[in-house]
Amino acid sequence: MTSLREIAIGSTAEVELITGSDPTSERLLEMGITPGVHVRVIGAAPLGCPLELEVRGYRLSIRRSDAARVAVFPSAGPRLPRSASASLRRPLPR
Amino acid sequence: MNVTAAGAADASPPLTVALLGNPNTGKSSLFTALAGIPTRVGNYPGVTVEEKVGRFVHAGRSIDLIDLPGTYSLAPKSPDEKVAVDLLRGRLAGMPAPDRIVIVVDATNLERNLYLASQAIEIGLPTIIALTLGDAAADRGIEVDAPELSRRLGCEVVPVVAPRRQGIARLADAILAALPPRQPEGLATTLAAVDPAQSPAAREAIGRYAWIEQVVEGVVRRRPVVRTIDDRIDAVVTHRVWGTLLFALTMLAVFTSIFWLAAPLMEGISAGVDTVAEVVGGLLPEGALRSLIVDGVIAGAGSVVVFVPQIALLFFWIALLEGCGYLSRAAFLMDRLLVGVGLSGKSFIPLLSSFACAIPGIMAARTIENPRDRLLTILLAPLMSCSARLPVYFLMCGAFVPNVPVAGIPWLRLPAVVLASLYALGVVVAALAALVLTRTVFRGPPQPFVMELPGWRWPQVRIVLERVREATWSFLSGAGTTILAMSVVLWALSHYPRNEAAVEAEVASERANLRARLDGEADAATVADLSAALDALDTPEGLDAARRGAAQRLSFLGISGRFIEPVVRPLGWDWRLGCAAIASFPAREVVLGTLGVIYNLGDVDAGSEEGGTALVRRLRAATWDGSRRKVFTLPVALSIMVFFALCAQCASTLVVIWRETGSWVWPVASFTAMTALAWLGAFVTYQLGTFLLG
Repeated sequence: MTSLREIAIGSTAEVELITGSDPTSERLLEMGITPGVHVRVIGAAPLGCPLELEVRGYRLSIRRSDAARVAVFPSAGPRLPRSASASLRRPLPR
Repeated sequence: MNVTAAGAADASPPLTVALLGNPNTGKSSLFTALAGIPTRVGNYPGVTVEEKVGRFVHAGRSIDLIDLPGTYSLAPKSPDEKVAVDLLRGRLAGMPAPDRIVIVVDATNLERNLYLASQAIEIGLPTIIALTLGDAAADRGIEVDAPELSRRLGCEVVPVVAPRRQGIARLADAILAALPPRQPEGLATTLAAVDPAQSPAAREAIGRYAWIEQVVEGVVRRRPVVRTIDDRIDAVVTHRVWGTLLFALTMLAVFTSIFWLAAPLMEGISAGVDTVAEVVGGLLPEGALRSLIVDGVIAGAGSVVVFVPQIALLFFWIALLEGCGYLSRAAFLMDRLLVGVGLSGKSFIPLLSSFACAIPGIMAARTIENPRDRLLTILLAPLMSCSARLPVYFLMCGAFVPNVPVAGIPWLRLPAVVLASLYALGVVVAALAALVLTRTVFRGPPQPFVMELPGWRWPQVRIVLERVREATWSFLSGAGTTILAMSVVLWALSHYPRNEAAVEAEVASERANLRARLDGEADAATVADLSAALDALDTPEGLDAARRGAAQRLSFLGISGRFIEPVVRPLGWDWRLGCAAIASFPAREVVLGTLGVIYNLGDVDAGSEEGGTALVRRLRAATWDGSRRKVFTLPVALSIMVFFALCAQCASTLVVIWRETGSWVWPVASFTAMTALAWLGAFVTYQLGTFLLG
């Protein structure tokens, strides 16, 4: 299983699931890191941690240890534009 | 104060409107545009979460706008968020549910903002959505179809540009006209359709975001932008080299302004207070009342106002950095450094500021949302060596630390090494204290550190000034009054019991003592010092200073100094030093002044060349009562400095800790622990120093 922590800087990955059910995982979900969403790893702080992410059109910073709890599908290729990522999403339950 | 041409309000009770939104959505800007300066600022009952209410009149109706703390969801993770949620649901003691909710939704970040909005709409209160930052969205190639969004959400959506007051009147109209919302189309079914195997929290998030994706489909149009403005700025600001350099420069600017830029302002205030004291003192007859007014009340008020420049400057910077989006980037850059001791990057600026003064530093901890991190930062801030400790360091290093090179390096002088070590001592002790506290008192599950890095934007002058005004006023009205009251009490302790006869007797015995020591003293320098002190007693000023010194030594404070002598003996101190340490409690910066009074110099300005030299001469000549043994030696000077580096002998800091934590437990605990640490540090320093230096 690949986690967000292992995603190279500049790459995009699709979230599979978030492990655990504590305040941190809850906050990650609320901030929009939900299964199926595409997350781009923009960079890391000079000391290597935390990471800067782009998700749902905004920027978010999380620590590497928390990124390890975000399971992702192996990279969907570098820098996927958002419109493309939307069309890749599975059909939503209605 | 009122938004629109409104005229007088009718007699009906004001409509209460809660302003809800994610952090960084332009919520405070909207608050100011609607209600102006808040008419009521306080704390919600039982918590230290700030309550801000502004009243305004629109179309003849009074409206109370309640600014709720920024929150990401209605499943609260912090006390701030809990207050927002409880208030909306009418669960807050003494506060009925509001009549309307205005949800601030950031157009640049619609999906995540709609998460909270969709939860709030479900409460069923009349709801209006204020769509902010449309201009910033346009810059980023984002266009939002507000009427269509309104139709899909089932409530009014009003686009506003708060700094330019666009859409504000329409928003106020919508507030008055708002009806309970329809249930948002498809939300319930989408939520119900989520895989039941997921945890409730995950189901909530997955379902809502699935619904939000449907809502924004066709409502938000994005012009493809290859590289947004945020991309370009972030590439520099979070860059390994440039980002670090920019950060260092920014922090240097912040620190310089509170450390040096504030100094002339503070001196100006002190000079002003002195003038007032002189004028008022001239109007009153000599006696206890004059002393109370001049030395107690006016001096006390001065010691409060003197903090204003540093607080105002620091909050100016914080508001500026927060307004443009740099504050969270700074926390992002520094996080790794503070994670090791159990804090986060958000503690960096409060702790850095504390090197200038703990008071603005502790207040700056308001920018830390996480309550545990905030409290820990508040408790560690006083351990950073503040500028009020510098005069003590300078005097002691200059007078008693030999100016010799260290390790044979000509430019590396011992006094400089000692000074640097004192700063390092505070940091190291703070780091150790943090490690111990996070493993004992503050033990618990890891705190979420999921921090939004908001889009870059121009800070707004009005919001920046409002932050400065708010911080300064909350200090003056909250902590200031208590500090003033405390100064008066401490004045009384250092002036009573007044016993003229005992003072005269003390002065006489002082004179006899000096004469006795002069007889048979061989050392020429000491003879000169002693005869100078003796001659001074014959001048009117010298006699007055001696009387004041005696009165101080015979006051309650002085008596307690003698009383605690057994406690300070192991630190190498005589009772006079114990006295000075106790008397410096009102504010650390007075310790040298107190030493001056205790050693019969009257009011010396230890910072000046002349005053400093006089004080140093007096201290060098000081001996243990009834002996020729000098009090001030290198180990004693080091022990004094270590004590002051670690102690919490600063009433104002403790009062601010009380205000900011809302409980007396923390200042008391902090004072006790820091005094114990300071004593231990001074003890080890003195004993080790004596052992090594013989």
